[in-house]
Amino acid sequence: MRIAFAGNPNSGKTTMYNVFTGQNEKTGNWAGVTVGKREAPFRAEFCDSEALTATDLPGAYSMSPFTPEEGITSQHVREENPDVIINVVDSTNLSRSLFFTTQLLELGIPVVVALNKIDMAEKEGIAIDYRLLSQKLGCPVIATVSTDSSNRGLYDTVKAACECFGKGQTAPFVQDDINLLDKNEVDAADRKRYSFVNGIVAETEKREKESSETSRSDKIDAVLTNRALGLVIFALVMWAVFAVSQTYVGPFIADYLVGWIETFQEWVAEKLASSPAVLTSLLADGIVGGVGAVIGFLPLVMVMFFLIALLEDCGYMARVSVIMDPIFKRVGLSGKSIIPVIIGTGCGVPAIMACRTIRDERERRATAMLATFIPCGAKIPVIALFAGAFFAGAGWVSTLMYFTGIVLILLGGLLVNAVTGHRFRKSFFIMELPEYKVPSLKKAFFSMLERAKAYIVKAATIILVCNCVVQLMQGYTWQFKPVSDNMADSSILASIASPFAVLFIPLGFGAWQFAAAAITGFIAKENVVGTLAVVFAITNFIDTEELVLMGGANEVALAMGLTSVSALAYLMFNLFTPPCFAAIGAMNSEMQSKGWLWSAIGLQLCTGYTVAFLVYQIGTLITEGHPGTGFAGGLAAVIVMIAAAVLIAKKIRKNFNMKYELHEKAGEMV
Amino acid sequence: MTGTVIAAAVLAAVIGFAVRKIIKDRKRGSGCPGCGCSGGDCPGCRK
Repeated sequence: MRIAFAGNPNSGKTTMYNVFTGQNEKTGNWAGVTVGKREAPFRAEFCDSEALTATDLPGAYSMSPFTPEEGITSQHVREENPDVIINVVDSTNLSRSLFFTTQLLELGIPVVVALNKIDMAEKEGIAIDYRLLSQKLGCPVIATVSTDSSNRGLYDTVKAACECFGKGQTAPFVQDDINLLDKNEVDAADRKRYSFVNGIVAETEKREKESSETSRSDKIDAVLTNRALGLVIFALVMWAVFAVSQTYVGPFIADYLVGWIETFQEWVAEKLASSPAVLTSLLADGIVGGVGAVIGFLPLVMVMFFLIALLEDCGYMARVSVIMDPIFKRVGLSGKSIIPVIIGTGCGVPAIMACRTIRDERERRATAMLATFIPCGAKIPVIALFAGAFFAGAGWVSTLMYFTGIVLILLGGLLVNAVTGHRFRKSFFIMELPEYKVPSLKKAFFSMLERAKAYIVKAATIILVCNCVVQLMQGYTWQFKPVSDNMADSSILASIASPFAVLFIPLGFGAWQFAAAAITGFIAKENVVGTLAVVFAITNFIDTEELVLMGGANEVALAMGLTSVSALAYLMFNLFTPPCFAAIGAMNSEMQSKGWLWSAIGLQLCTGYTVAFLVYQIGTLITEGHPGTGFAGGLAAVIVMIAAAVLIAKKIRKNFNMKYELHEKAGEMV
Repeated sequence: MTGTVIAAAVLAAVIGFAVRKIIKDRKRGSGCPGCGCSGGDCPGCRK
């Protein structure tokens, strides 16, 4: 028997699905987290006699989809005919939730209403007469709390679903036959439905407090989402997250881990002392050294994601959308664009997928193009490496990178707006804010472990293979002869990376080693750290005696031969050029347009190059009183890129205007 | 000699495991190396 979980966004569907199936799908205390359907069998304890399959669907407010993820839900319930639908309803917002419920009831598929978050409703003084509601709707209504360890109401929900199987469903409200293309008829039909729903709510729900009264969450929001203070508080919160994870707690834990890795590497090298050099270099330097360098940053990553999970769960992250909405709107993006950006701090792939929650197609594609400017989890080791090796205060460097990412997103939004225009529809931003709650330490802990597992798996697979390949390419010439210590430039890796290194001279890092690391970064950004560890034969990026990341003039900085300014330029280059291939693949599938995809890649390449150029040249001018090496060449390259971008933008805008005029002439609404 | 053989075997096993896992994850569409989701229909891997 197939059971689909449908309901409004943030009603608790995925949480309930996770409880029933034992899965650990991503949930978040905001709408728009689930963007695709997922299926899994129910756990045995919930199935009596037959096998049950659960399908978790993205949240939807209506069967008339406005966003692609609502379309997935609408399509699934219409075409795939689940046997039973469990409609997860937020009991703290009955009047809005029941709109969708009445639509589901019209499908003829048996529906069980799970009146979820009933504990929160009781706390807010909302009393619901379940029996009367069940009678009015014509389907079972069960009070549930999906976050309760006792699984309150969940067994009854599954039992009710099994009892409904094969019985059909009557609808308490049936929409008249209307012309769905006529906006006025659709609006009138929706008003009738709302009137019916409000009638049911008036009879079945009693509230001690009116919605217009100020709740505790409202009072907190008055401060946190204040127009003036909100952004400042957000900056302080993110600085605190980075300071704790990358300056204080993270490196303290990482020190022990790095110490063990170092000891292990020495032991391996000692055991292989009499073995062929290729074996020693692959095992000791490539695998243990290279992968170990990446693994060494694991504690920093884990602490950061633990803190972000806490912020998500308490309800604060949803408020960030409200804070950023006025700023994003000014650059032609939606306030909802902040959600993919925040998800992008974890990984760019789900961030691009989360763009489906944005209704306007142009804004959706623009956000997918720009979301990866925010540094993802894979870039944290790169930031930590350079911040620790070249700058004493690691906390502010991370904060600077994230805020530079946001600035680039805003500038990118202006550019996309200038090219494509913003003339067809206004973008409205309506978002449900969840109540504040004490974050679950257990949930944050498991989220952190999930992230750690993914990090280790990635290090043990893709990064391991890349490091082995890099080690071999660095150790041998094209004639497969070993490269001696003072002839590193004759290696395979050096010969491939050197042409690219020439382009990087105006950016301050014109050595083939940096080009090689940047190239391997397209496979996985952590590879930048691993490759640098291999090519410079440095694997200890964390000072095991000082208990901090390496700071100041030290072994790492000396080996790389970079100034602080060129190190910052290299860091920004890796952060703001195109993301890894997995994220580019996600952009390809989400944008559904080769033009937008190549524009995105071109924009990201130009941005990374230009930002690195400006940082290096201006920084060198300030610190040394003269521009850096290759200023003229770099400036010429940047001018050529800008000129090409302007020409392409003009052509796109011309095509866009022609299309708009054609539509106007045809009398179509675009 | 024994150490060399063991080291070569360990190297082959480690690389073999890594390559096999990468191929398996890509085919199954789970364990997305990007978002790191553990199993299920990861939207990052869906074609």
